[in-house]
Amino acid sequence: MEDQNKCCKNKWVLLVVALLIIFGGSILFYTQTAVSGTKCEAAKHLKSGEEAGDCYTCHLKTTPKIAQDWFESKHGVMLVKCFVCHGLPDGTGSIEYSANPDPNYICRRCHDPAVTMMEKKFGMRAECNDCHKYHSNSVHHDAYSTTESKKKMDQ
Amino acid sequence: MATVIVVALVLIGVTAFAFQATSSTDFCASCHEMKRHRTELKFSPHAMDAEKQPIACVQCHLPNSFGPKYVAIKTYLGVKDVLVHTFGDEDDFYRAELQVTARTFIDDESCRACHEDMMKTTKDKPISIEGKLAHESYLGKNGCTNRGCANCHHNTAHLPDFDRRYVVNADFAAKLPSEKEGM
Amino acid sequence: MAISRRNFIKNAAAASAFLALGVAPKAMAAGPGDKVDNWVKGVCRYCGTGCGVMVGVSNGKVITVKGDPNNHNQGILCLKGALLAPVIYAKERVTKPLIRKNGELVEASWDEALDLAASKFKEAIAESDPDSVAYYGSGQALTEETYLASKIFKAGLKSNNVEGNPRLCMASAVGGYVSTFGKDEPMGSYNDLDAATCFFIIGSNTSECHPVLFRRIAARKQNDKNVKIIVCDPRRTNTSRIADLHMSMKPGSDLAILNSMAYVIVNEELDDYRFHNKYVNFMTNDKEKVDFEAYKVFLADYKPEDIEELAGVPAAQIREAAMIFAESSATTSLWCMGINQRIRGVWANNLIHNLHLITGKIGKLGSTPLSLTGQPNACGGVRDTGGLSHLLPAGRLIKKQAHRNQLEEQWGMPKDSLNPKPGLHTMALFQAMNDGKVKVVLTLCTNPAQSLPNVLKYREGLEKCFNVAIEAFSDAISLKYADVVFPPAFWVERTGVFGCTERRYALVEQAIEPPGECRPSVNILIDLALRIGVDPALIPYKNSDDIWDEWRKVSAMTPYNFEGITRERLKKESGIKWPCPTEDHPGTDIRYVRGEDPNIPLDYPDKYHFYGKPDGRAVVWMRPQKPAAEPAGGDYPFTLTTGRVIDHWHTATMTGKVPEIARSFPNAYVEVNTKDAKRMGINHGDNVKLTTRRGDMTFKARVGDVCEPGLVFVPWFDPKLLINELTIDAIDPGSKQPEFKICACQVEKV
Repeated sequence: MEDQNKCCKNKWVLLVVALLIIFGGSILFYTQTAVSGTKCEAAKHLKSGEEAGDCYTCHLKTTPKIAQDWFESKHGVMLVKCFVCHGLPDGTGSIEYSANPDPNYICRRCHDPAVTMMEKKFGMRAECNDCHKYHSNSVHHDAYSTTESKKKMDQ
Repeated sequence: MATVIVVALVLIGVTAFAFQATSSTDFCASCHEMKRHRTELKFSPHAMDAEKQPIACVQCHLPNSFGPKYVAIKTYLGVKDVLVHTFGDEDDFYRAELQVTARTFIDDESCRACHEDMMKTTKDKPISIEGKLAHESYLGKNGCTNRGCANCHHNTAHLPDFDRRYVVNADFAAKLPSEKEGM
Repeated sequence: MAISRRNFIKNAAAASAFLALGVAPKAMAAGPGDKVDNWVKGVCRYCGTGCGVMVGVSNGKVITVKGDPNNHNQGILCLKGALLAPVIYAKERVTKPLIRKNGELVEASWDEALDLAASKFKEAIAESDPDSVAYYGSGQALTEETYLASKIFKAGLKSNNVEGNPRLCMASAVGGYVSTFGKDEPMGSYNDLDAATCFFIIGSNTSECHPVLFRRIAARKQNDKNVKIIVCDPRRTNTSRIADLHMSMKPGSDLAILNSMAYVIVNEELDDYRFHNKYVNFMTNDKEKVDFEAYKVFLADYKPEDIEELAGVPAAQIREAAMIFAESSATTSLWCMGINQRIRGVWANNLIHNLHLITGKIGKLGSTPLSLTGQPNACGGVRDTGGLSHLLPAGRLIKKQAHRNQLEEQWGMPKDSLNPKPGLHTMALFQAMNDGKVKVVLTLCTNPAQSLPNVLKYREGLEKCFNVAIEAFSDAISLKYADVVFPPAFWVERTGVFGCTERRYALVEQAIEPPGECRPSVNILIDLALRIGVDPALIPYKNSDDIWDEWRKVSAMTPYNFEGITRERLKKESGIKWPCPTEDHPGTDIRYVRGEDPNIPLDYPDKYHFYGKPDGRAVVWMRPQKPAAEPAGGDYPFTLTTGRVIDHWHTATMTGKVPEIARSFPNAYVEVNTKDAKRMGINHGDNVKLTTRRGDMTFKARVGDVCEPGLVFVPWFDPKLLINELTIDAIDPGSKQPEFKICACQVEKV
């Protein structure tokens, strides 16, 4: 009788623990997958349109922060335009389209010596972007504070 | 069996009460770390809705309708907030990272509950050509961006210091006291 | 371990990913770069910056291009260079010889095409004289190609009608260097950009036309806050974004501004008397030697306050620019077509050199007048190997008998057998084609039907003349006028040498086989020459390597010494700067300085020696202000200027093949100032008609503050909207370079 009771009690505990794990697990699973953090998988927006490659003009209106970041960044001052790293959204470009380009391929096209140096020091990592913000890596040290670098903004 | 039903009913009752009690803006702002967010909201374009009623935190940060999604997100965010409030350190309040997580959990249904016509502005005027193209992409025409509302529409209710330099945020930023001045 | 939100989220994500996939998170996918079989060293095909590239080859195809870390660009490329690969595989490539039959270009065999072209050359020479045939080359041809073509025409056919498109872009810079220093080509190098504390950029949109150099200038400024950048340009271009001072000058006032800066320098006593007293001669416009006092008197007309109105620049700005220029410890000047494409381009070049000579800012690291070039091998291959109608290789002149005799000896020809009469310069050449005096022309790697100024005027000649073209792209407008087209191997499909702005010569190595029946241009030239009947002993070459070895010998013993730049070294090193007399010489960074320039003996008594001039002194020329040939005014109140945009290069035969660029920048446009636009009711995107004395054309407007009021700008890459139909063909009497940059026009909303 006691054995049976113990067994029963254990069963209940197991059941509750199992239920809690399943419940908690499914909530975790759900929040991590159903509402995933990386939502942009834009494939081919703006298929038509003569100047579809002129990303900046439209993105200045639709994603003004990204456009402004780029404009003020080193890549903006040097006119390294969107398509150099991202390709064309409809995939017709000469490099693969990607919203999050692979630094090992894209960055190396120009910054091979720097990437190689970092690789030697720390091993190759996918997240160049963590420190060297692609868009907002501004021309720093205040070197340009007296210049017109931030004044001009196309309409 | 009856016991199970009773326990379940009690649990549901308690949960329902807890959900209700923890969904007010005042409750959210009862933790000091939420105060600045509330201040920003007050000066933001999302302070009031069309009927001049204050917009609550949960109207944006939780799904609009009750269901498994609602339960899951509410539980997850709640547990996270309690943990961070109790055990968290300064690093956890780095707003650039917070933004990313917060945006992830803004459900499009919440936005579209108020913003019904995506081709019109809140003033009932047609939106710009670029806006139209972007919203068409959102709706799956002209390719698909598969992005949620909050992934394009940033700083609609909150505006950290580092986002105030953007031209597009100029009006909002002008209304706010500096973050450093103890918001 | 404290549970923080960050860890909580991270772990939750990892856990759910694990649950979802049942595997550990995947490693990053391999980038396309990983599939490259081998990397081949080369030089970018586009501008005169001459960036080193590494060409990634996989299964005999170029799949990607990246920067060469060992060349001057340190791995960096601009957007055009980074997207070079697709150009090679453009569907518009010519892959078989073509000949015109019944008005259509049709495919033919090599024999048929070569025989036809050769017979026309023979016929023309037999009927009249060798001057009835001509060669029109390019700053994009290999050094070996230009040297060979020049030798075939000058020595083989005895025609000095050897020209090339560098006449349209570099001739005034050549004239400037030669008249001031006695020898062509800059004395400094890109290393100066890393040491300068002041950059004076005039008539150059460096940011769009030489982006990799612009990056280097910007990096210099970022590393040292005290570096000052002065930009003098009628357009407020992207270059001005890093400028401390932008001088919005009126077009055509450059000579006055430069003299005015000299006025300020001299009157504020910021000149380096010890330097110019010892190393400089002052000369009037009539080549009369005068003293420094006479120079001061000449400058008295250019007081900043007096030229303010003419120049459109406040006197204070001119004074400030002059002070920064002279007071900085190292000043580098950069200029490009804004200075060269003027009817007094040579004078403008002289006046820039003047500023350096009177302040002694020359021949020291960071101090140099550096003329930027537009094409990958104009500064190099064409100027050095003598690919122009008045030149012989290595700075020798056709009109000088001694120079001719040197070449005759080296080329194994009878004494005095070279034609002593200089040939026709570019604009005269195309005029002679109009007049029927030149009957057969060979063009190599250039597109004159788009790039000539006032181009409609010269189409008659192009049609009349029998036109043999070596051209890679079937959609180049010039092929409309071609009677025979030979398909050349393009860029990395053959081996050869490019020479860039800083006198650096680098090898473009063959990475892939040419498509179809394409052949290296040197082999096409040799075959054609043999069939025309050129003495085989003159051209005993198998490939470009043999030609390079001969060029090294021809240049040896001259100040343009290439002897140490062997093929083997070029294969190992990413470019070498001449003069380089021996194989263990590292190349020369600074010319005219003892200890740096191998042409100056180490025991030479003075530090500087401008050995191009008989007395070793450079010349400060007193060049007066001269307005443009066709200044704005009267019925044509606007000034029209043309130029490049960063996306496109030259006539877009290459950049137009890159999908990204073709789509981001499909059409030319006209840039109008906001004030002008408002006055005339022009909105962004409206159609605007430009009318000059040569024709009219309609463009979409871009309204902004880039152009000064009264100025409009149109890029010249677009073959559909060919702005060169409107530009003027007035030329500099010295350099014979046309004034593309300024003509009068009307602007009208339509």
